[in-house]
Parts: sequence; C-alpha cells; structure tokens
Amino acid sequence: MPANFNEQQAPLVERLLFSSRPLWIIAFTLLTLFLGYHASQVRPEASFTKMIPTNHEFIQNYFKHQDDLASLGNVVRIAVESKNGDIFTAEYQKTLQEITDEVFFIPGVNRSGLRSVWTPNVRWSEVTEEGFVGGPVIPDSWDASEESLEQLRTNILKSGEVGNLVANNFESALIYVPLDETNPDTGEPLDYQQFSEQLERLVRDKYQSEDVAIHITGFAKVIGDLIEGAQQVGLFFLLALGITLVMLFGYCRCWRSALSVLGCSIIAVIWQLGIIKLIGSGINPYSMLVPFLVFAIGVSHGVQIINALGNFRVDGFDKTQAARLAFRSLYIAGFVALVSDAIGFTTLMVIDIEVIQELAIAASIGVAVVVLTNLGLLPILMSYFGVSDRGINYQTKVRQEEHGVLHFFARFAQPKWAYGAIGVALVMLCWGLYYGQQMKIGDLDAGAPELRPDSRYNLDNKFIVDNYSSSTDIFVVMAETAPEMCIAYDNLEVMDRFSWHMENTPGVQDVKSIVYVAKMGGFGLNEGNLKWYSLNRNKYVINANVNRAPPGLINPDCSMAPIIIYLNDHKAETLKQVVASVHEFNSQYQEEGLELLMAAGNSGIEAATNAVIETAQVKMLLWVYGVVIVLCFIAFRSIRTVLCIVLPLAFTTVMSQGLMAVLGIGVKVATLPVIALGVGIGVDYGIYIYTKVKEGLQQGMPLYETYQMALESTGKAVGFTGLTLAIGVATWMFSPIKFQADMGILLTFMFLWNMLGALILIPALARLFRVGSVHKK
Amino acid sequence: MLKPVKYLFCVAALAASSSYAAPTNTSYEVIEEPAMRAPEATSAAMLKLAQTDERTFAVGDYGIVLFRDNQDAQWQQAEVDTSVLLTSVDFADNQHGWAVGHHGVIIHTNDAGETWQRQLDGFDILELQKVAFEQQLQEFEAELETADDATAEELAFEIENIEYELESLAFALESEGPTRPLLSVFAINKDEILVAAAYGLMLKSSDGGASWQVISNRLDNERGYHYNAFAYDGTYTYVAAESGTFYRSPDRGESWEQVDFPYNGSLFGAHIDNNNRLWVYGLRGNVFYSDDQAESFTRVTAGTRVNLSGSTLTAKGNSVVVGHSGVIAIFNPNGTLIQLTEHVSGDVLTDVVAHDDGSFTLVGQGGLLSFIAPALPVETAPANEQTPAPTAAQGQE
Repeated sequence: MPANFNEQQAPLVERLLFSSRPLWIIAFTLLTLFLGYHASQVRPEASFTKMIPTNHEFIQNYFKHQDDLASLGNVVRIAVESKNGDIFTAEYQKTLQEITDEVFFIPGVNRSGLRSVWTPNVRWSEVTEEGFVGGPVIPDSWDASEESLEQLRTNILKSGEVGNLVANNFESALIYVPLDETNPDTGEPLDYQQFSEQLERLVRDKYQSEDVAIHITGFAKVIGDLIEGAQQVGLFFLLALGITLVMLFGYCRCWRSALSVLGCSIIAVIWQLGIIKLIGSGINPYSMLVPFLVFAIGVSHGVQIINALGNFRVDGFDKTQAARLAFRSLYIAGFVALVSDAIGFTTLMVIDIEVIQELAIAASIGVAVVVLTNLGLLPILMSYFGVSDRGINYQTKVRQEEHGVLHFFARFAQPKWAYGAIGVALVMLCWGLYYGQQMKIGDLDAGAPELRPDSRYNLDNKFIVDNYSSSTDIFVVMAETAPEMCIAYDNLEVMDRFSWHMENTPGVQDVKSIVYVAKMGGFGLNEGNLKWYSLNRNKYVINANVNRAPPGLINPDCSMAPIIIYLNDHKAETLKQVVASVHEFNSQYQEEGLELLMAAGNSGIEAATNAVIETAQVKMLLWVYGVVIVLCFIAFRSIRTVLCIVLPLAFTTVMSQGLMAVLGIGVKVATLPVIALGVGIGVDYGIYIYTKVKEGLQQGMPLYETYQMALESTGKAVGFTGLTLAIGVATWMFSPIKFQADMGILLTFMFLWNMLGALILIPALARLFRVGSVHKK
Repeated sequence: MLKPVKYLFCVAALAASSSYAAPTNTSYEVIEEPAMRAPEATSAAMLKLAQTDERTFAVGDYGIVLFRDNQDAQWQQAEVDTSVLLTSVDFADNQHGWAVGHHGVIIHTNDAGETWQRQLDGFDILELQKVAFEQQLQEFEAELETADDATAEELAFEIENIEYELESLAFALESEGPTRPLLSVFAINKDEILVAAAYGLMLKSSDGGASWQVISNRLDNERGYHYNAFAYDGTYTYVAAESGTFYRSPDRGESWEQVDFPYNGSLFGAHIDNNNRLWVYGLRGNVFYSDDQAESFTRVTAGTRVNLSGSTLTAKGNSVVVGHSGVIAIFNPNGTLIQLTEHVSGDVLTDVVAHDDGSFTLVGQGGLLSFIAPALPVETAPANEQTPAPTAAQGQE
C-alpha cells in the first residue's frame, strides 16, 4: 500500500471540503430540496416577444402598434372537410353548425368576429335597380331540404366567400376564429395551451370522423403544439439518462460510481432549474437544451473524477484518500475547463434575442453549478461509497492491456499519418467551405417552421393553403399618419401606389389594405360598375367607400393602416427582397405626413430576426473565437499551441456550416447558439489533451510517446466525454419540434466532430508546426 | 415705426407659408406620375379593350396600357405619363388613339399606342367647366334683363343653379381637386373625339384633342346621371347612361336627344352589329336591341342576372356580352341566346374582343384573361389560362 498520501500538500479547498463531509452533505441535501421545490414549479413557456429581436427597428415599430394589429393576426382557422362529396349535404351542414356553436363558447374567442357560413355576419349581397339587397348566407327558411341546400349554394356564390370561408373546390368550409389576447372580463392574458387543448377536445376529438376531417391552423395552435411538443422533451431526458447510465457502467463497471455520477449530474440539473426559477427567468423551447447540456457536462466531468479515483484505488489508496487525491489532481483543470465553457456561453449574450440570452444565462448557471456538484459533491459521496471491487479489477485489467483504439489515435503523431490526416482535413475543409456558402439564413420550410414539415399542424396548414385563397406568410407594413388622416386621399393614393409596387415585387402574392377596401367600395357603391374601382378625392366619398371595412384595417384614431402583403413563402431571400423593395419605395416617394414602416406579421418579424441573426452570426463567431484564443494563449503562451487547439475547432465550425447547407437547416434563433456551444465545449478537449502533451514535451519526450501518454490519461476521458455529450443531445433529434431536432443534429455532429478533431488533428498539427522541437530547446 | 411693421409682415408670411405647407408639399400626384413598368401589369384590374387593324389594346388600373400585335401572343406595356385608373380606350385609325380615366385624365397616342401623353386632366376640366358656366351665367343674366316674369323666374332658378355649380367648382379648384371620372371615349376620327363622364359631363374636341369643349349643356340631364358608353352606327351616335337613360345624336355630338328606354336600371354598354342592330345592356342581365335607331327596343332573354358591362362581335356576326361572375353570353344575330358560360376565373368581366382564330381576349378585375368558346352546342366552357406576362416594350431599359 503506497501510503504517500500527504495531508500537508492538500490545498485549502480540499481540506475545507473533506474536513466536514457530513456538514457538506447536509448542506447539499437541503439546497437540493429547496431548489428542487422551485425547479418543480418551472413550466415550459413560449413567449412570443422573447423569440424576437425586440430592439430591432421593425420590432420597435411593431410594438408601437401592437394593440392595433392584434385583431389582424391572432386568428385560428378551422377547416371542416367533407370526406365524401361536397359541403351541400344536410349532415355536413349540421356538423358545421354544431362546431360553430361549440367554438363560440370557447373562452378566448372574439365572438362578434367569429365567422362561418353559420354565423349571421356572413351575408350575400347583390346590386339591383333599387340598390343593394342581401341577407344571411343561411336562408331564413332553412330546413335542411334540397331546396334550402340549393339556396345556400346560390347565396354562397353571391357572398364572395368562395376561397375565404368556403373552399375553392366546395369540399370544405372554414370557421374563422379571431381571438382576444386578453380576456375582456378578467383582463387575464389568453392561455394558449389551454385554448389549444380545448380546440382539440371540443372540436377535433369530438367531430373528426369517417365523414369529416378537421384541420386547424393559427398562431395559437402553433404555440399550443409547441408547448405540447416541448413536454415530450421530458421523455428524451429520461432516455438520455438511461443511455448515459449504461455507458457509464460500461466505462467503469461499478454501479456505485456510475450512479453517483448520474445522481450528481441530475442534482446539477435540479439546481440549474431551481436557480432559473428563482431569478425569475423561465425555460423556453430553446433553453430546454440547457438541462441536457448541463447533465452531459456534469457526466463528463464526473467521469474524469471516477476515472482518477479508480486509478488511485488501483494504486492502493483507501477510498477517502483516493477521493481526495482525485479531487486534488483534477479540481484546477476541471475548474478552468468549466470556466472556459461558461465564458464561451456568455458570448451568446451579444445576440439581441431574449431566448438566446436566456439560454446563455441558463447554460452559464448550469456550468457553474456543475463545479459544485461534480467537482465538490461527487468526490465527497465517493469517499463514502468507494469504487466496487469489480470496478477496481476492471480498471486494473484495462491498464495492463494495450488499447487498440488509443493506439490508432496515437499514430496521428507520426509524420506520415499526421500529414495524411491534414491532407484529408483540407479536402473536407474545401467541401465544408463550398457548401457553407450555400448556407441559408432563416427558415426554409413552408408552414410553421417551428414544427416539422410533416407534423399535423403543417399538414393542416397545407390543406388550408391548398384549398383556400390565403397565404400564411404575411408581411405587414404600417402606414403611419397624423390622427384622423389614415384615409385622407393623399395618403391613400400613395398607399395604393405602394401596394402596386409591392405586388410587382418577386415573391409577393397579394397586397390588401384599407386602400383595397376603398377601391372595392367605389366599385360596390356604384352599382357594381368596375369603372369606379378607384380612389376619390372627395372625403365623403372615401368615408362612404370604407364604411364596410373589416375591423383591423385602420386603428381607432385613424393614425395607422396596416398594409398586408401576402408572400409565396418565408425564405430569407424572399423576405430580403420584400424589405429591399419597401426601402426602394420609401426612398423614391416621400409623402409629407405619411410613413410606411416595417414590419409586422409573421414574415415581417422573421425578416427582422433574420437581419439580426445575419449580423450576429459574424459577431458571435468573432467573440467566441476571440475568447477561446485569448484563453488558450493565457494557458499556453504559444501561438503555435493556440493554432493547434483552435484550428480543429474552426474546422468543425466550417464542416457544420456545410452540413447545415446540405441538410437544409437554416441559421436561425435555434441554430445560431449551437455554434457557440459547440466551440465553447469543444475547446475543453483541446485543453485537456494539450495539457498532457505539454507536460510530456517539457520532460523532453518525443511527440509520439508524449501523445500516447496524453491519450492514456486524458484522451480516453475525452473520447468518453465526446460520446456522452453527443448522446445527451442526440435524443433531441426525435423532438416533434423542428428546431429542437435541428439543434440536436448539429450539436451531436459538433460534439463528435470536435472530439475526433481533437484526437486526430491536434497531434497532426503539433507535428506540422514542429511544436515538440520548440519545447526541446 | 418701421420695425414692428416689418415684424408683422414676417409673421404674416410665416403664417401664410405654414398654412400652404400641407397641399404644396404633397409630392405625389397620381395624374402626373408616369405608369410604373410592371411585371404584373397583366394582372392589374383591366377595364376596356380596343382593336385596330394591327393591334389589340387593354387599359386599366395604375395607368396601364397593354398592347399586342395581332400575330403575336406577347403583351407589352406602353409608356404612359399618368397612373390613374383608365376606364376606356378608342382608336380613330391604326396610329391615333385616346384613352380616358379617373381624375379627368385624357391621354393620346399617335404612334400606334407605344407611347401616350396627357392631353387634359381634371384640373383643366374644372377650368373648362368654370369658363362654360360663367359664359352661360352671362348669357342668362343678359336674357334676364329682357325677360318676362315667367321666364325670369325660370332664369333666376337656372342662375342660382349655375352659381351653386361655380361655388363647388371653386372649392374643387382650390382644395379638393377633380372628383369626377371620365367613363368612355369615342374617337369618331382623328380630329373629332367625344368623352363621356360621370355626373352628366360630356366633352368634345374637334382638333384631335388640342382643345376641348364642355358640351354637357347639349344633353338634357337634370339629375346629372353618369354617361357610361358610346355606340356609333355611321349615322347616330348613342350614349348609354345611368338609370335607363339613353341619348342619341344625329350630328356627332353637336345636338342630342334623349330617347325613351323600356328599363330604368343603369345601362353599361352598347354596340352595333353587322345588321346595323343596336345592342344595349346593363344591370342584372338586362339586354335589349333596337332595329330602328333607338326608336323602340326589344328585350332579349339573357339567362343571367349578373351585371353586364362589355361586348363585342364575332367574325360570324354573333354578339358576345360579358359581365360579373365570369359570365359570357353569346347571341346570334337574331337576338337568340345561343351560349351562356362562365369563365373559370369567376372574375368581374368588363370587356371582350374576338380574334380571327375564334379566341377571345377578356378583361376584368383580375386583369387580362383569354377564352376560347367551345364548339356548339357544348354547355359549359373548358378550362383556359391567364395570358402570359408582357415583355417590355421596345426602347425600354
């Protein structure tokens, strides 16, 4: 028993920690209970304003008019499809009537704005010699007979609702459900999750049958589905937990060690969630990634501890001594690595989007917590539990064996393999750079980009887009005037010109605004003579023409009129073109007293987000690499070393950009932080390996032997870390939420690639830059 | 002593300039804004078609004039120096044409429709009307001096009317601007052009549009009904108007008489067929013809209740009338409905022309459409497509 355990050499932290172990355990238990209580209060939320760059000019303009625009955007559409034949059957109409009534009573529905064939506000009209005549679309004499069905068909044709409330093919009809953002009775904000759940229960579950299919779209439904999908993430966490446990046991063959590591990592997650709740921050579908990361980081550092601990046990120390020595040998490296992670994450704060900033804060807190749980609590626990004999035996056996995998990686320190690896990397780099050029900003799929293209929501959305004349990609320009001037002739005329300008912009399908209503009013009020489809300079004529304007097209004091631009899609190029076109118009026509401000609508907000993401992308990369380079330079004081560590990371970044282009994943709120997370964690590998390489080289060992030694000590753990991190996030690929899946794919790729890059390219680059020869001097 | 006066003057000037600021700083004037070259020009609302021996023309919203050579399927957008909604177009010959529209705009081409220039706008018309009313006022006042009591009363009433008209003209000239659209143009030849407008306004030029005359007082239209369309049979010039009013002129607009019409709904169009039969149509599927130069009319069964707004003749001499909801009704020269179909677009159709190959060009709210009548006796129309977008006219960009 080599009893060279030296109490005097023990650093202060170690003595503090191990002198009063029971006290620490009590403290950790109490804190865990306290934070666990708060963590259990955390609910996933999907706050719209947090997902958008609130300081961007477009969003500021939008916020200024948010109340006036509310009635415009927040609408749910329910399509009731007749699966056999058209909608002109008594049974179908009965179902449609029942669903309309059902929806009428769901809290949150703006009842006066509710529209369907069965609401009295949907009317037909025609011009006669005496003027307008009209009535509700459902004939007063409705008795579900053939005659009344025929009457209904005629009325629908005259109502102009084909394409709006009735599908172009007459095989489905819509219920148009505007929502109140706040409950007019209680003043409480609309509970999207509850509303969405009620729609499912009272409409879809109740009426979907062999004859009738229900399709529901709208922002409220997206949010509802998002939150619902986010809750499945809990399952992924359990899955990640299970896989990690199996891997841990496979690594150390000791249930006590494996469970301790797992337990401490779970405690880290509980603390992180509890602290987030306490500081008033929440967890959103983006920052849900953080518990996975914290867990994985916890496990990877825990592995280092039990790995070292096992080694000391093999060397013959008792379990308390082994725990203390493991702590002593690792706490500085672990601390430095975790701090660099945390600093890497905080660079995300430069992106002016709250969900990303929340993610940065959550991740930094989580990493800080790991310092306490997995560097502090874990050794204390292990000093009680100890490594099982089975674990010690396994570790002894592993040490004696020549490890094939390690041997393979060690070869990259030899010139032939080193240059070969660099050559291959250069070829791949070219591939990455080439495809990286094609990487797109923003969302690339149709429908709700948050959800998968084949999700029920997006299928519903496709049904409605295909069968009705409405695009779901809406870009709103706000025409701002002095009060009472929004329908002044001069302003309307410029808005009309603007509408025409936009209609001629590629990617624009249609433009609607109060101008269109005014022109249609001229047409309608002059006996349906299209020769009057124009604006009139007389204000009384204009007033009469816009009399029947639907709500939301002008605000109450008539100082703002939204111009709604329907787009073909929300691809970044389309949005860019639209924004450029608006700028072009604004520079060409400057009307006194009228400002055409961008932007609201889902596409307007996405245009702002894209603009922020595009500039943030470069800024973030500069920051994160700047921080990493500075940290590495402080640690190693050698430019060559910095190159050895940073170049593999840059290689991974380029490759992941190429991968994004190939997989059709755009740079967006969800994927932008992934690059920083990947670099922040990836640099750990380099630091661990290079620390050992440096030690060896300083002792005058040749590179190959040095690297073999580094692989045996930290390299092995790096390999395991890469795998656990990758598995922790890989479960996300199965998320019903598209952006979570994208995050999962990218992070998995980056963690694995960083690991391989560190194990293969660091020795190869060290060979290339002749790092060893420098140290020899 | 001088100082306060100067100061006062400055304040007055300031006040004046600020009160003028609003109208003069208004930079955008639709009358003067050249029509935008638009890739989507064919899908803007189009109102009227015209044909010459060589070309087909369409006019509509945003000052758009489209033309197409008869052998060519491609539509081109003409250069036009206004952006108003154009409501009507007519050619005197292959080279000379006129189009009219909202805000009192008259444009003219003398290069077969490639470029169009404004000849008159609503502000000019207000001035013309003012001159015409003032002239009339002078005449009445002169008459009043020698008139007997009965006529004097009548004259006083007329004078009061004219004074009211002059007042509203002054308001329009000062601040509001022109509010009455021009609705139809008829180029009798390259010198004589008639323009019909809303609220009983009629204009004529006898010098190819170099000067224009307000001739409203030649028509009896106390209620100021809108004049919607012209027709010409070589002898008479006809005007179909609002609320079943109908006029004819034996001398190309010099004098007019109102004829009795058997229907009191608005009439939107008229044409003459190869047998010199006059066809008139309007609100709610009402179609009539007259074989005696509008002395009497016969009602035709059109089988539809939609508004009918445009018509043409086919090579076989059939009359085609189009209207709301994509309705296309074809009548044989006897006046019998031989075909009633709906264009798939279901669009508000406003005009139609027939081509030698049996196809039609239609216009309406959705822009240019094409249509091929199915061979008789098929009941419904086959599918058809939107016409292709125009290429840029020569010399552009």
